[in-house]
Amino acid sequence: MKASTIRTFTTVHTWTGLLAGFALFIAFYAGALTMFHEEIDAWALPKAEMARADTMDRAHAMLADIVAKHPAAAEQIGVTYPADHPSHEVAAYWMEKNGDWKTQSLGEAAPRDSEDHEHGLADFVYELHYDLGIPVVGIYLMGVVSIVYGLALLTGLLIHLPNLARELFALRPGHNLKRLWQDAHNVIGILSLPFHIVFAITGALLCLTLVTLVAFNTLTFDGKVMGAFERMTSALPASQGKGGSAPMLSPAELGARARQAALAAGAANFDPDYMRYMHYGQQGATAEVRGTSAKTLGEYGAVALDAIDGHVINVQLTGARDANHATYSAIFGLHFGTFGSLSLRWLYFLLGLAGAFLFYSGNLLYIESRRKRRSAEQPMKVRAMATATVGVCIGACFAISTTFLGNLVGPLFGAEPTAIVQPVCFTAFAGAIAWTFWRRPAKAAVDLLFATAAVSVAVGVLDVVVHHDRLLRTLAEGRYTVLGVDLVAIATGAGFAWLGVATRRRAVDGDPCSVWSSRREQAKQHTRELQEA
Amino acid sequence: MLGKTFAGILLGLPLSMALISFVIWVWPHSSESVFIPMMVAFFPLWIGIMAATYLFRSGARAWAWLAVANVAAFAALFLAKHTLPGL
Repeated sequence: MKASTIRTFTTVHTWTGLLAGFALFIAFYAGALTMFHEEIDAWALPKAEMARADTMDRAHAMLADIVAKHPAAAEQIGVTYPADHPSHEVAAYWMEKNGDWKTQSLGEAAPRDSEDHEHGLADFVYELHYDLGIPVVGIYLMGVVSIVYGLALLTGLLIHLPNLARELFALRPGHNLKRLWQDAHNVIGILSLPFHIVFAITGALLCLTLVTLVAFNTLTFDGKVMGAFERMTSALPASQGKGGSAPMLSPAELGARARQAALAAGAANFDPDYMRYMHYGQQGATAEVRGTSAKTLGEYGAVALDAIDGHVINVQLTGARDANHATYSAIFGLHFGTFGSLSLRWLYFLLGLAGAFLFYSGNLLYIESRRKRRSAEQPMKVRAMATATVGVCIGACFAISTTFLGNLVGPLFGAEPTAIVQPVCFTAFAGAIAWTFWRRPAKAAVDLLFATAAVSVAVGVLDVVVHHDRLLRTLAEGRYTVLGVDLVAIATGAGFAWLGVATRRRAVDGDPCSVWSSRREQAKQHTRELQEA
Repeated sequence: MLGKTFAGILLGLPLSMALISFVIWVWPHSSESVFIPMMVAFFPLWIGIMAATYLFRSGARAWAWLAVANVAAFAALFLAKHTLPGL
């Protein structure tokens, strides 16, 4: 490659990295935590208990009641199966005549808007992951961020390509700190490249599915995509209701039959998590049961059945599906890391944190490359970048730990956990940003790292103190979820404390001609001496 | 630099859509059978086109060549649409 080409791609890499890096840092940090969504959910809502034995019988009755009261729901009505984490409701979903999606969960007397549900801590962290907590447009923003991230990955690979083999395992500690950061950035980027490629592509697809389909639908496929997409992703063939009336098999019965069909088709297992009826209560009614199987890249599969006599119409699951269904399922499997066991989730967790480090180190490299080596006063763009990096990145870590603490402490003062997670998180984040402006990045980084460490340790320790009865009960039952979250919180705290110590050492003992030095007076003195000499 | 950037974004988008649609349309036997795998290829293709656009000598050349490529791709798609069944 020509030197000028490499320079061009370096500029593109820098700017795309800066543009997408902040959002990606938060997405990767929150996404790494989301690998343990169910564990966090069980930890965060100690009172909620689910999965009564008769749950699905009650769901069956609720569906009949909903269709009687809302005739539009007969066209299509879905219901979730219970899962063993607390914020997962057994709820029905349907579309009213005006196109609004409604939902009603077991125990509720009336429907509500399907968007309108309270979010526990785990769901909130998940939302931060895919929309940064920004309602409506956040998910599209993250889709665009994913595309910019893809461009940053490609250009980063291209500029590193000439030195790739030679410097793959180079990590050169020493006087030249920029060299060390560059090596660390490169080695993590290259070793986790397959993971990042997966996330750039599936992230863009998951956030922008609807937009992409609409674009292809109007621009190149003359309005035929939408109907085809339904066929490509569901197991149900198109069907017409034949009127009249007919008794429906219950969700529990259809789920059991779907599992039988799945096992017969060669799936290792099949756990139904959602099903929907078409033409509920009429002749010609059909149902589709969606569920997850292990030992496959795409865990989601679906079985379509006749909702009246229960015979199997179509099977689309592992080993028995076409390229469209397999790819669609694999997009989810690859993104959510559901194609393996617990060790895969830990691997995704670590790669997620490594990804957050990748974006953070990219910002550090920007600052280090533009540092004035002989002056205490650093250029505006360097100071701005340092402030933004510390405020947004470390601020996000602080805010998320504080949200865990709020979820734990809030109920002791009578607050509802689901109501306080969002305000606590946003307030802590805004506070961290303000603190960074006030204290300057060198000192604020140390403060925020130690604060995050203290809050994280407090999350683990306080949970053991406050909910010790629950901890003992779960341990007695052989469940290690709660203990695991407590221990990881404490370990995270120790990690942040270590980062704090290192950052403090750099601020006090490091090169004073840097935005990361807290010794402003000494640095000015140093500058004067240099000028005199 | 900015000229190339916008050429890659604004003309790269319809170009990659046309190319992907063309491949789907001319796929033997059943176009529908490869639709979603092709959708997976769409974003990487667009990203590749955006990166490749920086290889043009100037912004004006990038705009001109991508415009030509768009016309060619949409013409090919138009022909395919009028001769093959599609979705």
